[in-house]
Amino acid sequence: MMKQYLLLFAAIFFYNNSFAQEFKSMKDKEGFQKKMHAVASKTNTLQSDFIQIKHLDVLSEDIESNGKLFFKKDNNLRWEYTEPLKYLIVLRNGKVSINDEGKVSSYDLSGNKSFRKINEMITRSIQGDLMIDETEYQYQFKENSNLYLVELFPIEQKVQEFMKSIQVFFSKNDFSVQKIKMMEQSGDYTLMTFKNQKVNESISDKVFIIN
Amino acid sequence: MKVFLTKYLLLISLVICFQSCNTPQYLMPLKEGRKTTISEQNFKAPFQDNFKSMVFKTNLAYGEKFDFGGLLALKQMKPGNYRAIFMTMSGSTLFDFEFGSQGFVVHKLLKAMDKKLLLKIIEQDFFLLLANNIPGKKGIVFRKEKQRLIKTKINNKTLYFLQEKDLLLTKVHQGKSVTITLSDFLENLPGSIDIQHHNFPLNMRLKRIKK
Repeated sequence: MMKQYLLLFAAIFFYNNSFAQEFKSMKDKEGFQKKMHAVASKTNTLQSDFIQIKHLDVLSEDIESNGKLFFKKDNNLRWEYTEPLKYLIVLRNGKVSINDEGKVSSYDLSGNKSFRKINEMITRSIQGDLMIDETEYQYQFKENSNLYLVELFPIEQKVQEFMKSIQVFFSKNDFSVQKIKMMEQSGDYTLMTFKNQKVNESISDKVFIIN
Repeated sequence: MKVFLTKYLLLISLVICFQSCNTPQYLMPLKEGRKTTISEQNFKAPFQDNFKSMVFKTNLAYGEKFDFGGLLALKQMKPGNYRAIFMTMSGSTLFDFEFGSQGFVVHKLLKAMDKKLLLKIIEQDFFLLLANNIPGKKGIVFRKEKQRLIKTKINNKTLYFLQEKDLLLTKVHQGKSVTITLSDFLENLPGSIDIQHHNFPLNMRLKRIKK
C-alpha cells in the first residue's frame, strides 16, 4: 500500500516537475522552427480535450472549465466548453460564431484588426504552427528536458491590452502543443492544458457549422 | 369653494401622480408607511455575512444589437468593499472595478469600453446590487402582505428594496428606470440576478456557476 502511495506521489511529482523545471535559452532555434513547421504542415486535423484555468490574483481559487476542441485545416476551429457550463465558439473563414445556451450570434472579424490578430495567434498556437513575424511579436525560445517553450510578446498596444505575452509549450517527443498560457499585464493568466490529443483523424465539416 | 376643491383635487392628483410616476406599478398602492433609519436590523445587503467570492456566467445584452457572454468574478475584499472582474469565456479580462469605501475604483478597463456613460451605468447598477451604502439612510417601511418594502432616496433617486422572510432581498428598483431581480438563493446568496433597464434596452443576467 505504502509503495503504491509512493509511486503515485512520484508520478504526480515528476508530471508537475516537467512544467516546473527551469527553462533555459533554446540551443537550436532554427532546428526547432524547421521541425515545428514540418510537423504542423502534416497536421490536417486535431482533436483534444482541454482544461482551462483562469488565475486572478484577487481570488483565492482559480476558475476551472473543461471542454473539447476540433481543428481542421485551414482555419476551422471549434472551441467547446462543456463544464461547468456549455458555450461554443467556432472560428471559420474569418468569422466567429457563438452558441451561448442556444442563442447563436456571428461576428465578422475582418473589420477588427486586433481581434483578428489575437484569434490568428491563438489558432496557430493550438495547431502548433507559430508564424514567426518579428514586426508583430517579440519572441523568446526556451527549453527544458521535456518541453520547448516559445513566448510571444505582442508589439501592438491594442493587443498588449489583452495580453502581455502568450506562452506555447511543445512536447519534445512529438512537437504536440501541451499547454498555452496567456499572461495579462496584471500578472493574472489563463492556462490551457491539452489532453487526449488525436491527430489527423477524420472530422466532418459539419462540426464547424453552428445552426 | 368650487375653485378651492378643484385646486385641492389637482394637488392630490399631482401628489399621487408624482408617487406613482416614480413607483413600479405592481408595488402600488403604498400605504401605512413607517419612517425609519435603515440599519442592519431591518436591511441586509445581498452579499455580506460570510460572503467571500462568487463566479457568475454573465450575459450583457443591448436589445437585439448584441448579447455578449462572459464570466464575472465578485469578491468581498473587506466588509463593504467589493471587486467585480468581468472576463471573456476564454479568460481575457475586460474590466476590473472596485466598489466601496474609496468609491468607484477602476483597476482595469479596455480602452474600447472606456465610455463615460457606460461606466456610470455599471457603477450605478453595482451600487444598487451591492447595496452596501444603504444602512444609515432614512427610509420608509411598507408592509406588502408577507413582504416588506423599504423606500429611500439617494442622490435624488428613489430606491425600493423588496424583502422576503429573514430580510432576504429579492427586488431592487431605481424608480421605474431599473429593476434588479434576485432569485435561486443558496445559503442566502442569490444564484441568479437580472438587471433590467427600462429607459433603454440594456440587460445584464448573472447565473452562479456551480462547482
